[in-house]
Amino acid sequence: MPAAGGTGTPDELRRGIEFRADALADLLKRLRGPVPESRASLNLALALLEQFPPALTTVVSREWDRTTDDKLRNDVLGLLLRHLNFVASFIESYFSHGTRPELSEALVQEIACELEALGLSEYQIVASHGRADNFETVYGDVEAALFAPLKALMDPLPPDVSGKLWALFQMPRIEGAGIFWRPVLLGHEVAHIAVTRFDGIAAFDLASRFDFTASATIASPLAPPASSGMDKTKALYEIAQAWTKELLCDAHAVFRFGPAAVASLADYHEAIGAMGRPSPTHPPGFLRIRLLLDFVGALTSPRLKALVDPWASRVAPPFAMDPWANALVNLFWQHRDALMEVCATWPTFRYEHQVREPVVLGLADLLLAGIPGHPTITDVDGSTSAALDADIVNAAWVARAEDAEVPIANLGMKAIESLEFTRRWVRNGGPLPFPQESDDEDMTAAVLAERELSTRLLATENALVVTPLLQLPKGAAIDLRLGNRFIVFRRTMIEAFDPLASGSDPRAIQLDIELAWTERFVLHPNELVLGATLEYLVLPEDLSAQVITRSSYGRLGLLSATAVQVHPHFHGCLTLELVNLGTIPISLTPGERIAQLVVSRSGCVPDPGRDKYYCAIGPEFSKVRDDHESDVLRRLRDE
Amino acid sequence: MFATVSPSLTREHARAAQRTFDLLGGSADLISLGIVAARGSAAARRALTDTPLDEIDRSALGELAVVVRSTAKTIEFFGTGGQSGIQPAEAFAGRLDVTLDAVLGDEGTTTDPKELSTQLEILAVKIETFADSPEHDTANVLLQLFSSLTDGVRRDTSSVGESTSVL
Repeated sequence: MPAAGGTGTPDELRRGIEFRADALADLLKRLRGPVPESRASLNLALALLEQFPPALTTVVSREWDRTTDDKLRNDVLGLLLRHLNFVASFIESYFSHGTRPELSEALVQEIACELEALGLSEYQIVASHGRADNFETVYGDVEAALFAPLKALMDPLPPDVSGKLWALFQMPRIEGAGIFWRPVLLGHEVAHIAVTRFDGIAAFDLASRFDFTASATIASPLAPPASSGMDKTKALYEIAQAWTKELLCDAHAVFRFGPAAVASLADYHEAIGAMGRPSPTHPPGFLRIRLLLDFVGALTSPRLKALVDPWASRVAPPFAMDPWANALVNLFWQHRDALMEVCATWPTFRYEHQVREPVVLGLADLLLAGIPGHPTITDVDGSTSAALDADIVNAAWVARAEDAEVPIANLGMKAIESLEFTRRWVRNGGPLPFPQESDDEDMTAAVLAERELSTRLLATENALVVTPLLQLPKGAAIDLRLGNRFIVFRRTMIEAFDPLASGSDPRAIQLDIELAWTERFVLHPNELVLGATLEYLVLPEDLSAQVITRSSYGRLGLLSATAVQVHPHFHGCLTLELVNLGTIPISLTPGERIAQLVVSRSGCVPDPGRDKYYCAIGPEFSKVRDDHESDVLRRLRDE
Repeated sequence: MFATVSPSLTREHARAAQRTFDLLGGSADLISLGIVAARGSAAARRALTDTPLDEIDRSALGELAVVVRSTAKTIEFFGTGGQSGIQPAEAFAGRLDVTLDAVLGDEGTTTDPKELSTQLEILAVKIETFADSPEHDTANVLLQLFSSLTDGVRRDTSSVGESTSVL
């Protein structure tokens, strides 16, 4: 160890490292503490990072003892300080935000599914929010990067921690949560890993397509005009490599999502101003969209054409580019078929949008009617098949292009979630029910029994909608399952919550969370939380319903609904007020059948239009403030 | 076939590129290179004082010889229009720039890519030879090279530490 009170620069550098390493260790403890065990990859990543500060101080101490060469100490400690700073920035970017509770593990699972579809399931995934204008992905061996500078000084380091590969995703808060962008842009980002793993640049054979002679005369942002010929070639080749990656990922997006990939990427490029802007890392948006339009091919349906037509005119020539960008634009346009050929070799399910067109348009019609669609599709011949997430994304874009008056984004996400749950349900042996029409039901009883319920579920007019429907009505009720979204109360410093106060927002006392389907929610004794049904319901004009707790759960002390009445024309997932009246915590798994819907005739009620909880896809915060008489009551009490 | 490489322009190139690094975007690799180069410098200083090189010195020199040789292969790739050599990996672009800067130096020996590739191969052999039998002349050359490499890494991984804007 160093002599106490050393006053040289190396002493100061050493102290600088030690203080920062301690602070970093403390930060990592604070980040990891609140992370539940169910967030396995995040836990694993933080455990890996926690090994860095002690390893760093060990290496510094060892190096200090090994040499008395002050120049060497200065160089090494100075560089280790830089490295520590890079590690700290990395933690802030990808892990501080990643522990925020509103970022669901469901998102991590969505990314995992995309990777699995590409045969890349070995990656540990961490997701976080980032800048509004950028989806950012880094992937590879975090452990190697973290410890490489230390290993340059002391090998082997204790201990070898994970040996895992990591994929870290940062996404904008808005586009990262929306049906219009998230699936497509995440699909694009995931494809970056495929480009590396399947050596996409070599497969594209960039070296044989690139003009090494001409490029020696072309200046670029990485090689100014005064640069040598080789520097210019080297720089342009580096840019071409980066562009190849991006364009292969775009091609993959079209493979996965068809026309929606064009709409999604074009909309996003326009939003961030990338259309006419080439950069050393990214091709200009107009080239990307032109290529996407070419990849997707001709569309016959006017409704699907409406997704891409606005962008075809937007990216039409001319776009004025610098010579370096023009050279690359021409290169990739000339070799566009080769990009698709590379993607075709990846283990990607190709979305045949021409074949899926009827399904997409059917789902779009449902979305326009305020219904998130069914995870299973019954074809004209009576056969049943699963909907695809790409069907839903395309349907959402069709509905958006048709100026839907319902919250398409929410309904689309609900459809994707239902599809994912249903997939998992079936994969784990869950049956899918097939309601049968019946013509001998008693049409006069006040409460609908199972045969009439089945008939109403199949009706084309005045239908009762329950989606996803994972069990048949039984007796005089339909069981309802617990969804994965909750609103919980949190301890706050406010004295009281006044629901009528114009400045009051329930978020001051409540927090919404979303679980992955593999996670559980623990409800403590006497705790009230808001949950919601997994099923999205639509009640026709002549039916109303009541929600009651299933007796099996009531016997455990669980109360699932206090506001029990559901009115005709209701659209949405029912909010459940869950209370544990027992004495021990109850663990609740999304998908559990905890409630029942008892449906009764109500006589025809005119459609009241949208109410404040219309098309909810999870529990909704109280909107008492929006009640029409709230203003009256506020004035009355202020008299 | 190709224009010549000029060291001052390569430096300008590096500055113009304004590369930014992060942990998984090349910084760890670059800093590792800087540390190994610092050890290489220390080895050269030891040789100049006739202190025998130890295993750590030789290991650092071995790694530096590998770095120089892989740079030679990349230069060969461009010198042959992609016909031979090794295609540069994007992740190592920073390492390539800083190594070329250090090798060519401020004065430098302007040459064409093929000649540069050959010079780099010769340099790699020189480093390997030095590890086995250190000589003062070579030590002086390598001390300048490795110090320049470490300085280049420090320069390229630096930041200004604040960003202030007036609206």
